Amino acid sequence: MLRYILNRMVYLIPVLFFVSVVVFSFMHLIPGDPVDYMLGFESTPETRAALRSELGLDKNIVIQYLSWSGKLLKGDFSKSVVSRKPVLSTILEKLPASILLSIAATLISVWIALFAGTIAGSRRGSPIDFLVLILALLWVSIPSFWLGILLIMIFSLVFPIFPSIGYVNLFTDFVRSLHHLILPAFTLGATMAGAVTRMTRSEIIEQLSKDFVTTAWAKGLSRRVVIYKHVLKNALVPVVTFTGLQLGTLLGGTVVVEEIFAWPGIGRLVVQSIHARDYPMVQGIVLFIAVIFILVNLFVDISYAFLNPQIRLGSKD
Amino acid sequence: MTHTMQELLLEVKNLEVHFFTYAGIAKAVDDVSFFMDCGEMLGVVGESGCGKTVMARSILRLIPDPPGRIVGGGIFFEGQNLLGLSEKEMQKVRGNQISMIFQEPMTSLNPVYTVGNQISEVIRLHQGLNKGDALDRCIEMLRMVGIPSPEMRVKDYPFQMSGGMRQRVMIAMALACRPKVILADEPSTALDVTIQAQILDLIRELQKELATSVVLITHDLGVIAETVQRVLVMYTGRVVEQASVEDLFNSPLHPYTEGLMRSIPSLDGKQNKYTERLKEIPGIVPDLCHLPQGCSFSPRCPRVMDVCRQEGPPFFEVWPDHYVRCWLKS
Amino acid sequence: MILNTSILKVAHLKKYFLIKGEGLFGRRKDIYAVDGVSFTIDKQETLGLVGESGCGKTTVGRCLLQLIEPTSGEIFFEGMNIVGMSRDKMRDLRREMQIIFQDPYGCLTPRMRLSALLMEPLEVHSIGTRSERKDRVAYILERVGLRPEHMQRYPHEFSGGQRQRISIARALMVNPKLIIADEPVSALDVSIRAQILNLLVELQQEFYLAYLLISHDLSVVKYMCDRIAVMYLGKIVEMAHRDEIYENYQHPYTEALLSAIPVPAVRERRGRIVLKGDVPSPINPPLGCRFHPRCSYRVEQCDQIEPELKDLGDGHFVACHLR
Repeated sequence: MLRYILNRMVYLIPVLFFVSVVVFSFMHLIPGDPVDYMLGFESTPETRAALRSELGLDKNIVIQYLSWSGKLLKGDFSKSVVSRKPVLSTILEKLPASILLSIAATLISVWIALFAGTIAGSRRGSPIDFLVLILALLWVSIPSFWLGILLIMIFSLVFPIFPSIGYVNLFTDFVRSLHHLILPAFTLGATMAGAVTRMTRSEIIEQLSKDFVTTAWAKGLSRRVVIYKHVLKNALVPVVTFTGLQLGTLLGGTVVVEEIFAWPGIGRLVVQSIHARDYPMVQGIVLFIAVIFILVNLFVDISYAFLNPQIRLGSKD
Repeated sequence: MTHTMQELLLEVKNLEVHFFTYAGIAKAVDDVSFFMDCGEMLGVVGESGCGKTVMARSILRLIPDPPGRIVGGGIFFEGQNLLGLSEKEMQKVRGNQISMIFQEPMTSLNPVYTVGNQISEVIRLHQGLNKGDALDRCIEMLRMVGIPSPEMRVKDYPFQMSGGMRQRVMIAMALACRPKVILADEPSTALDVTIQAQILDLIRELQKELATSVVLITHDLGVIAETVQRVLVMYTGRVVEQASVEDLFNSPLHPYTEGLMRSIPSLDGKQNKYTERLKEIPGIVPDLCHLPQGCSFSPRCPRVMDVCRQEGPPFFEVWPDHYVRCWLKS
Repeated sequence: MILNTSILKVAHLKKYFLIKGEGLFGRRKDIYAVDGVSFTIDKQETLGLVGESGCGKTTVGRCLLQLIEPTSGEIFFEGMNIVGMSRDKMRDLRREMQIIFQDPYGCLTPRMRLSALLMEPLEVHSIGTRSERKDRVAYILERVGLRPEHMQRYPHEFSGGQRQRISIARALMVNPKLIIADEPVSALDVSIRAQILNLLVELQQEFYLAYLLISHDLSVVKYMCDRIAVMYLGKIVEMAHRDEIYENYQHPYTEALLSAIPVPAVRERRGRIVLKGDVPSPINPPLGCRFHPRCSYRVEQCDQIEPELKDLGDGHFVACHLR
């Protein structure tokens, strides 16, 4: 088991290296002079030269990369050109909001999806299956901005149940926090719910045709035990992968939802930074999100071992 | 439920199981009747499509609906018709009074739960033992089926075991609640020859020791000859011959049975390709959705008569306890 | 033998599969699938290669056709060593050696009609003109018991036995000298097996074929083969003429194997030898004689020294310390 984890972690190194190179290149692949974009064309050559020197853009590219990645490893993501505050600390300030939103969205959608997918898969061809499939298709197809606005209209304006904007820290006020969380989490989770439902459903259908299921029936187990104990655990592996990947994506892809609900997370931050031409900030955020995604993947890989004993113990010769 | 002396342990009467497919209706089991007494070993032999597996699964009502359905007949276990039971009542029978062993040990066990978990599950379900007691019983069962170091093996996952071991686990699981009947569907077919011998020996021993009745389903006439007491020969969903194993091999009555026996090269004697040609059965097994009119074996039968092609023959007793479905013997 | 009647000679064939350990820290495992196998097949002869799973018989078959490359050893086909042969030369040789597989469902391309399937070998080896090919296909088709109206059908429209006939027809197209039949009837119904076996025997006479019959089914092997080699865990433990193996077996494993087969006849339940333990894995073969852990006759040297294949005379070879 430990060997398995170590193996997975060793792969982190080349991947992280590659990601850092790609992110670094953004700055240099943008046509034109980044400094011009940052300061505008009215700035003086001296200011420009000063910024250039501050950002280290006047040095050799390899040296730039080395010094940039060196600083990264020490936790220095350089400073925002807008606020003059360190990028990393700004990100970390906004991070809890995004994490809360992503996790909530994942939890809501996965619970619903697993349940719906299992029911649909175990009753294939029935009216319930049909209904679930249509709903899943809808969830997948609806664009999140449309759904978000729709939900705000219905649940904040017409029936003022939930607030439309704002964020409350989970630890400050739990109930109010959830109150603000529900609409954006639902919106964000919708697409994911649709995809996970379909995936669960097809896995369940596939597992139901396996021999061990017949054995389970032959033992006299009830329907609930056969489906929820025997079949579901086997169906989970691909679902877990998918969910893990989705969670990773969510952490970065929350831009639209955060904008609509004015949720002060990383997504919103990156939009604001792009508008403000705050390159170091944008670069820092992109890198950060990439690292989170990679780490989430690592955890998904490790969780395999818990679900599938064959990976944990190694197969028989 | 009162038992009488005449009451048989298991009696199947005129069982009809149909599969409704796009290609048509396949009569997988067509008017099958037989009985079994306590402590008996009954063999069911036939090739693919003959209905033996469907019949066995029907006894436990494991036929998936759709596309299959039991459309007629009765299955009487200790006098009670299983077809009349509710699903909940049926669950009390499965794994408890009647158990089943399947053909493919590699895929018949759940890969993500330990062997101990899977066996204990059935013990706890039917006998209400707590975890600890169930585990003890589980270890005892593993020992009974000849698995060495059973206390260690309970924690194993199926993939950590060989095919032969997995089949022993299946047998242990089937016997855990001391059922009265075991349906063994090709229990040794997927195993190597030397392991096959082990498993069949084990089944024979346990059957005697626990006085369980066993229905042994196979396509291998050799297994039948060495293991069972009475035999049913099935073809395209019907029983074509029924006899004691001695009677069947010494004087087979149905042309299909004869054909099967003669087409197998024998290990005794000097039969080889130079001495004689194998007596084959011409043609192929017909599609169950498009069975020929009359006797379904008529297109391939070396002694076919006109009546065979028009009307299906009845099933009747030619000699004491030796039945056949054939116009030749009427 | 003074006259060279052998068509195939295999000398000390070895095939090890090296499995890398998992990840960067895993241990390497070697599978000793075939560990020093030697035999010959004469023209128009049938040699049976018999054994259970893990014995290496299928790997031997694959090596002969160079579908897998042997780790070491030599394979002489009509006098030429084909190990390490160039691809072009091997291609020509593939006309002479063909294979029939166990699974009649998996080895036929589902999207090709029968006519295309049968034409393909002729096209690949550029044999004959278009009309000559058509004639050949029609001829072989009839010989294997199929009919002209089957030509336009797809594989899934045929039964198991018919698909095996198609495989045989395909193998015969290029007029080979040797056919390797890997479990040719195991996946077929019992009543169809006799048909296919009879067909193979007829074709052997008519087309002057040699067969290597790989099977676990000793009754099929007894019927079809002239000589038989019994394999266990990568090695041949006994090899002899057919009657010798069945009536005068010398190796304890051969005895156990023969004893384990259920015989379709009712007689006194003979004292059967039931081997204990599982069929072992070729990853960690036991030291000394590979069969010794399951052998009831073993003596002291059996777990230390590996027995060599000894010639007992009359072409009967056995690898056992007791003989």
